[in-house]
Amino acid sequence: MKILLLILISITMYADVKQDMFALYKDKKYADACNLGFKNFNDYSKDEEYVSLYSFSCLNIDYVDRLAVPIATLKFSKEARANAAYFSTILMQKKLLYHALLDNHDISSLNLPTTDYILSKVFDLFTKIKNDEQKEFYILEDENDKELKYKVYILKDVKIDKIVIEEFYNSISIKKHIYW
Amino acid sequence: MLNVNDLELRHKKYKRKYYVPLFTMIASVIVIAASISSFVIYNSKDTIAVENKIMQKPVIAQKIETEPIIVEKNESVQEPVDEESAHVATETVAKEEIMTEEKQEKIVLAPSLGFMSKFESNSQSHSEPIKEIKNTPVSQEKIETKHSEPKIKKKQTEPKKEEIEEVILNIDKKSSINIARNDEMEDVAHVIKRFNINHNPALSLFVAKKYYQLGDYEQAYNYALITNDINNNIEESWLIFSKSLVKINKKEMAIETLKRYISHSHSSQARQLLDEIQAGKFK
Repeated sequence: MKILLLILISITMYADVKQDMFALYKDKKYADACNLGFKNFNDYSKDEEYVSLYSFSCLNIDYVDRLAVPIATLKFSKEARANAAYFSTILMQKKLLYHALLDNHDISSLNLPTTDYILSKVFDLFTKIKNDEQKEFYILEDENDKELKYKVYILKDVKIDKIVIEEFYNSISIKKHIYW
Repeated sequence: MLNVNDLELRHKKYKRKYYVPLFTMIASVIVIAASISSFVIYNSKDTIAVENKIMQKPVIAQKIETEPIIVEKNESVQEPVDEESAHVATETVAKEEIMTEEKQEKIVLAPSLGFMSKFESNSQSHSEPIKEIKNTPVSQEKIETKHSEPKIKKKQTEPKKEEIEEVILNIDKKSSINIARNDEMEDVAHVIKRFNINHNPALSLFVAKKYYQLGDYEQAYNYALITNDINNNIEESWLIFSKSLVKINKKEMAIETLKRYISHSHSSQARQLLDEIQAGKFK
């Protein structure tokens, strides 16, 4: 009886963590959802719905490096594979952009898939410009909206250098993303 | 004398007590069996889907794999070779150029959010009904000013995480339950917060344009109106304002507005829009 009760309780808790994470996601508390998913990841690493929700939560608050493990685990359903491809494109673009900005590596010849995520937009624009010499910052203009511009630069930090993407609309800063 | 009735009752009670644990055991076994079978069925569906897809090569993989070939062939052209091979090489280069031109169209990957609907249905069945907050219709003269005081976002303490630095404000959560990723709406919300602080017409114009793009013409009208109030020399704002009026079935008002604007600005774009509206081309 005790074993049965334990099984029943564990099944209920399993559902609860997922639902809690989903509730946080719906409330746009992406950081909390991502952290909750991170804490319980080992228990639910085979649940693709859980992994996908965790990944989107992390992506929404720019925790791109946390997508690495989900990329490897999402593979059993069509939907999971589509999301894995989506995440891996973003992660790759981040890594390439970081390499290009810090080490002046030429990525202009690359023609990678793109996504609707800010990093992909910046990556696409960055690959189109001529990088003859390293600049302190790059101003990239959105193709669809001329008023919208992205300022890309490296933030020198004590521990690690970081990429900063600042979104400007009509010279006014709207959003700032930091990656490393 | 034995009290037979009493004995029978006691026997019945005893029997009931005897069967209760058995019944609970059977019931719990059934519940567990049902849950396990549902998990098994779910997993088997996934494996079948995977098996069906084994023969199909992923499109993205193909595209990426072909990329290095072009680089290699381009490099071979630069090497000094005899005329024939050079001729062949140039032909291949020409072909590759055509291929690369064809490749200019980028593959756009979109997130697949179908799993969210399962969460949604589960949450509806598991817990209390989800509150649905509807977008309240906005009056055309007044703009909603449901904003609150600025609040600084808590700093992320975990060192390994990447962070997004932005000023977060407490705004009205008027979006209904929207499962799909909607960055645009979030961006608009951020800009509205910023606009509520500094009342910069560029921001309100941005919001008006975004709302127009998203098909929320009343809000687009509202924000264009605010922009015009702050600065009445922004042409784009007047155009969005007039277009939104047409979209909310106030064509006459749009025509009047445009005529007035043209009379003092002599804008060619405004004139063009007026012509289109009058001709019925813009609906």
